[in-house]
Amino acid sequence: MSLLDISRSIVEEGLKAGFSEAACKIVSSRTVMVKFSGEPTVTQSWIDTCIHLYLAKDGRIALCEYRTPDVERMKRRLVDLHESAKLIEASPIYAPLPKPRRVRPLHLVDAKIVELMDDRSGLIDYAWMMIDEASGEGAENHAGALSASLSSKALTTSEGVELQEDSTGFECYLRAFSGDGSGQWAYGGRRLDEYSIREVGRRAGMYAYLSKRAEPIEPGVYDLILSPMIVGNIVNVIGDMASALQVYLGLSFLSRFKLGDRVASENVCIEDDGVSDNLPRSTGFDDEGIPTRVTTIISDGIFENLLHNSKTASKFSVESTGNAGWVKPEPWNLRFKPGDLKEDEIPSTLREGLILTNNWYTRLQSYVEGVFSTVARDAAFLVKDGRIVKAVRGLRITGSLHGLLSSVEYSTDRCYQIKWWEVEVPVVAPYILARRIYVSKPM
Amino acid sequence: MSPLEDKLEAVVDEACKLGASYSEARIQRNMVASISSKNGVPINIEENVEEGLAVRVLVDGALGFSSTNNMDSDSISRCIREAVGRARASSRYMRKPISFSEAKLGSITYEVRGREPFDTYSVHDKISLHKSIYSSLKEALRKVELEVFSVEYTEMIEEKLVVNSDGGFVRSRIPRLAFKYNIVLRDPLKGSIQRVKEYGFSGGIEKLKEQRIDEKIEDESRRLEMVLLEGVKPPNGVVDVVIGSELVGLIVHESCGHPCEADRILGREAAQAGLSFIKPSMKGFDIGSKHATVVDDPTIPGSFGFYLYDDECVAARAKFLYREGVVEGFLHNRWTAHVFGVESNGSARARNYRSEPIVRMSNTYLTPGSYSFEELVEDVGEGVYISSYMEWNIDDERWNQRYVGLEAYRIVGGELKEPVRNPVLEITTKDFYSKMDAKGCRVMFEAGLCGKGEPMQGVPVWFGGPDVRLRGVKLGVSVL
Repeated sequence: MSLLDISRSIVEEGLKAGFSEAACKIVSSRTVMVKFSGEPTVTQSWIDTCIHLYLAKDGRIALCEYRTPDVERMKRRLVDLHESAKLIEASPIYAPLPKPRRVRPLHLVDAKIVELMDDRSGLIDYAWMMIDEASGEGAENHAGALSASLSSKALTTSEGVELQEDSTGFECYLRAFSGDGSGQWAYGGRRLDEYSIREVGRRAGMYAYLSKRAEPIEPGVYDLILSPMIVGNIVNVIGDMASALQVYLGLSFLSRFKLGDRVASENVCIEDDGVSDNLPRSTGFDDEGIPTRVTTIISDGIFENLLHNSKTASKFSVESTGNAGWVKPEPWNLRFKPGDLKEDEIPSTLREGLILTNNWYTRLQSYVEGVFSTVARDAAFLVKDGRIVKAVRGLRITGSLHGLLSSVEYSTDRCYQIKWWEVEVPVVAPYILARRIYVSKPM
Repeated sequence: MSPLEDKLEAVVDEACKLGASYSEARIQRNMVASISSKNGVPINIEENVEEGLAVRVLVDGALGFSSTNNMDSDSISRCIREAVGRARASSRYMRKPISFSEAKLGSITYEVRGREPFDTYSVHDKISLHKSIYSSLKEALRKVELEVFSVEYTEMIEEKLVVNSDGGFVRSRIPRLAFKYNIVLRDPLKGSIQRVKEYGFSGGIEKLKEQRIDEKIEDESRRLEMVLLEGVKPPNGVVDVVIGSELVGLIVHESCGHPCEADRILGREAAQAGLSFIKPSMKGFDIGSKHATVVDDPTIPGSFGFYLYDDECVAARAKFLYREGVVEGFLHNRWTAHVFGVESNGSARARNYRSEPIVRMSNTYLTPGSYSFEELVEDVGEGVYISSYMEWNIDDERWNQRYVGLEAYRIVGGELKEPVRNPVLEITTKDFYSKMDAKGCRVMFEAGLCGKGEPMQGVPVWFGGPDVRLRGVKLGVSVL
């Protein structure tokens, strides 16, 4: 049976069990990964099938995710699930599944990745190619990971949606070390792109070498250049908060604003992109069968849209943006639009400021107020009068998301496709300049 | 022998025949049922089941891992060949071949049984707790608006069977329960205050009842109402700080548990969860005062991080990580134990069948002292008591950390005074443990999912400790 046949049969079982609506998404995937730290620490591979199920009756919603070889037992569970669903009230966000729409197929498969996955040495050879690039820049040690994947997705709904899509994916990141310094860079896409793999190694190695003798600096207010790695991490937080469900649940600073409000400086444009062929999470259709699209979240600093599925769209009296998640709308790939500043002009924008190249551990004191801090990681540099003076360390960015977005003055003209541990939703981002941001450290 | 055990024995044998010097097969089933609600009304119910086979092998000194949830014989064979073949292909890049330490491995079956299993109550009964808490909050909060009360209630059952080529055989079944909530209180003049917190246990629904979560949430919300309405700026300058057990547990998890993970010390997680300020030779390093004693113990009954044997079939045990101000020991699996020339202390955990077992914490806590809370406070002339927190983070070597208090009070002349808003404790690990001059007598635990690995594995843990007193700390204040 094809994935579509199986998903169709599961939808039928859901309806037989007593539900009035059902949707079934099946993802069958194969993934390989090499993880290394100086040498390979582990090679991993996964061959997996996951069945996702949406069921509804009288506005009551049940979701299921089954990764099990026993599909028949899973089907039998649907009757019990129906009995459980009868015991709850209608969901406050319920809206019916949408009717089928025309979906434009995307070209998401790269045959080179399929070949690579069948070659057991292939991925590790690319890892060492990336490492060699970092070493060429002066890096002395390295850690990171590369992964490649091939997936098939089938979606059937009781409203008549029947869709299928194949895709490949490739991700890599490297953290390079030199003396006391370190640098990290990352890439994610749907194609095997040797230039980007090499560039990950080069940038990580370059930043490691340049930061090998870092010194502490005093906390205070600085102008900051934030690298695409950091922009990617912050935009991930904003993208999650742009999910209409997060606004509804009080987990978003955007809940304090109305569409049309200014939430950022005029230099900020953030959008969700579900359709660009080479972005790692692009897909032709969402979990309800709605075609994906490009949705502007913030345009020239103005709050334009939240991300919606049919349920949140109904709750907020707007149209779906094609971001289902049956209950929680999710961003596909996020994009911070570039500006016109050249990268080599970055230091000249700062009289006294910092260039920060990576971060991690972004946490919030209040989601609804957007108050946060995040720890600078890897290379950081102090700039005075347009020149890099020295490498620095031990810093933390603190403030509010609204404040940070409102202080963005420039962005560079080139974007990078970033995806790694701290950028789970892929982000296409440039370097940005944010004025007068508080940087703290232990007192 | 059951067909399942037979299958795993065959997987282990097959991997060895293909050239593995060590092989391990694990069948793991995780069943999760959850209810999400807002303001007492369910948004949806959810059921997740994941079940599959994990194979891990050592081939020519390289480690390979493969998993599948397609359990036909062809898929299983392919899974074994993938693990062995990819490990072999990577072995030519190995500088120092991986070996595992000798270990006494378990051959055992164990199970945690809740007094009130999850199916004792219906979905309706379970959602009624969400409703009753929401109703009592609405009743209790008279001066501010309860903007949101959302809940994620989760029941988990984890079943594992691990067999390895060194003779290990461990079958386990552990039910766990989690209750996570988000509260936003709002005042038109004072703004808002937000609390996100999670309770978690191993066992049955009786654990939730014993905790009297409804009363705790209501009481805390009343106090947060007061913090929102009456909270002032915390004192500026160097003061004494009494830190409540909730925050102590988190600090200990971040600044002792993580840096004592031996794989992190060796750099295996350098590009993900990071490194450690502790280097391999730093056993015996002076980390703080005599009060700095931290234990990791997976065997605490009812704990969220409970297990009796790890996923390499090594018996779990309590470990001293810091002892009386000195770095005492690390968390080990069989690989790191071999590198350090010690025995594994049973710290290898895998979240699900798709995860390799790696070095993890379980229940990590600062040991108690002898002070009552009143005694900790009475000797403070000018200070702050931080009871709970929201924002926190730490650098990837686990040295430079920041915690922002949520419920906090000024201390003047040995007495708690008015609430203060958003005091910031930004401190190094050494300063935290060195400035500690007294500990409370009662250890409390908090629950959480600790993230590590690639792909990320969130494993259930407890972190805890008593209230503690720090002398001479420079506090900051967060924007808001």
